[in-house]
Amino acid sequence: MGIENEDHFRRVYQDSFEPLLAYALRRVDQPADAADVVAETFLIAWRRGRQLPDSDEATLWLYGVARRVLANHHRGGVRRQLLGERLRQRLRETVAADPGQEVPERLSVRGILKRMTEPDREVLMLTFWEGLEPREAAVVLGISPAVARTRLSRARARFRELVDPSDTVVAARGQEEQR
Amino acid sequence: MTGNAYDQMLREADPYRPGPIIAADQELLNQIMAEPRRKPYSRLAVVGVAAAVLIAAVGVVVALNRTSAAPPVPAAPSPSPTLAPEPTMPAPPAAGSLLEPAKVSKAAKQGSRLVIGEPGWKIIHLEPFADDGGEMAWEKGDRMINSSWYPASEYSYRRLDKQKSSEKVKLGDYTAWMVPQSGQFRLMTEPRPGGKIIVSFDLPPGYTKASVRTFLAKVKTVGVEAWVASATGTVSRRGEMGDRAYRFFADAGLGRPQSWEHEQLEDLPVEGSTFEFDSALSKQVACGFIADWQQAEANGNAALLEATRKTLLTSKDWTVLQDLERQGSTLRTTIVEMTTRLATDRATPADIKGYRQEFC
Repeated sequence: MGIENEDHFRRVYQDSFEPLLAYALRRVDQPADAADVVAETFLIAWRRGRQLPDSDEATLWLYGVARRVLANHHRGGVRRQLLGERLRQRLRETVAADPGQEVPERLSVRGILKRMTEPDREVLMLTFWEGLEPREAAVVLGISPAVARTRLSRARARFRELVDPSDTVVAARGQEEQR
Repeated sequence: MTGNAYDQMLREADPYRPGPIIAADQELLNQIMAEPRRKPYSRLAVVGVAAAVLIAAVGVVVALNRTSAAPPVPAAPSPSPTLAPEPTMPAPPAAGSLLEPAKVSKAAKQGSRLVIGEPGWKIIHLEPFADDGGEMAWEKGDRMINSSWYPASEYSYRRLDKQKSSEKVKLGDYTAWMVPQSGQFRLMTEPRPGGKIIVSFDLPPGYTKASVRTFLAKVKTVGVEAWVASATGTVSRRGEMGDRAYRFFADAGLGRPQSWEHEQLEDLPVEGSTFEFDSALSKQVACGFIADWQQAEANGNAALLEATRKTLLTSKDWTVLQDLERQGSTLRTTIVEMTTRLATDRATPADIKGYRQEFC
């Protein structure tokens, strides 16, 4: 990798680190595990060198890599012990999860998301958490924008279906809306 | 609640709370950039393999062309229980398709069973994601048609017939309502008496109302067998390869070597059956684990060695190998033998050389 490509990698690292860390934090149970996902994703990007796209596309490309890294992580795959240990430590200290602080409705919604199929769940998370447009989610998911739009439409409908109207939290929101 | 309220619920459920800023970790960056990249010789090796695959593929194409005048030969029944057709089902997709028989079967039973009569349209995406729900797409050149099927119970908020510009049309055996949306035409069927699904059908740009009607006149609803027969062609072979490998790693317990990268799928042959693809991927994975093991030993990386050892010892449970074995493959035996010998430190350098010759 030449100096120009090294500079490009450094820029992408600086620009994409936080969104990629957020992406990982949203999808792991223990915050510290996000360090592994970030470390392995950037390592793959480093190894691939010239395949790393420019500008905004780089973050989408990294999300796509991280998605596959996460699949391995959830399967209990190999953890790269030597990379990112300090980041793990920082995440342990600063992003400690406290379920007691969570609003019940959010937990309920996340529980519903867990019940959905992975393609539906991921397109919803990319849209509403990462804030991606369907054409951007399509890049991450490796599908056409048209398929991504269709999938998003379906996933939203499925989510609505799974939200039980009799649930007290949801019902309360409905009453608020009617006021 | 409105759709926007549901969307807002989703946004608010985001678990990420930007707290104390965690700046891009400089130490991690330095660690990563100190890691070796793929060495040039390995890239050359990949090119060599790719060239070999290309030559093989050209050979296949030539062979196919030479025999193209011959009448089509029905696909041989698969010995695999998972691939064996159900009594009421026709044969699984043709050998050249990676569309999974279970998906095709489910879509055939529960989906819309629409067949596009205009020549040239091929299925490139098929995902029956739930009971009475799924999506598919056809492609012809740079045009794409997307269609989803939904439970009939969702008709009340999906119906298009109440929109001012809607027109009644036929979509196969379905009665549908067509509306123009953003320069395209979108159709939604009505529920049929006793039917469990409704169907959306999104045409690509470039159609007029008249040309849509001409196009729709050739769309048919067919029986299960005819629909499965039509679903055997897919041009998105690369996409299917990625999907299939991803499912193996994510859901079927297949170990993923640390050195394995998604782009290595491009080294696998594009032609061939699911059996051939699964075999080629399994060999690639086995080769990757040998590389991991040798690299960990060479670098004295005890952590990687231990992690690899643990993964290798799970190989007897990799369902892809079990499925291949049921289809008559001996790959599971050889891979499990290799992984066991490696993981128990009983593989000699000569053994490893032999394994590399077999899998790499």
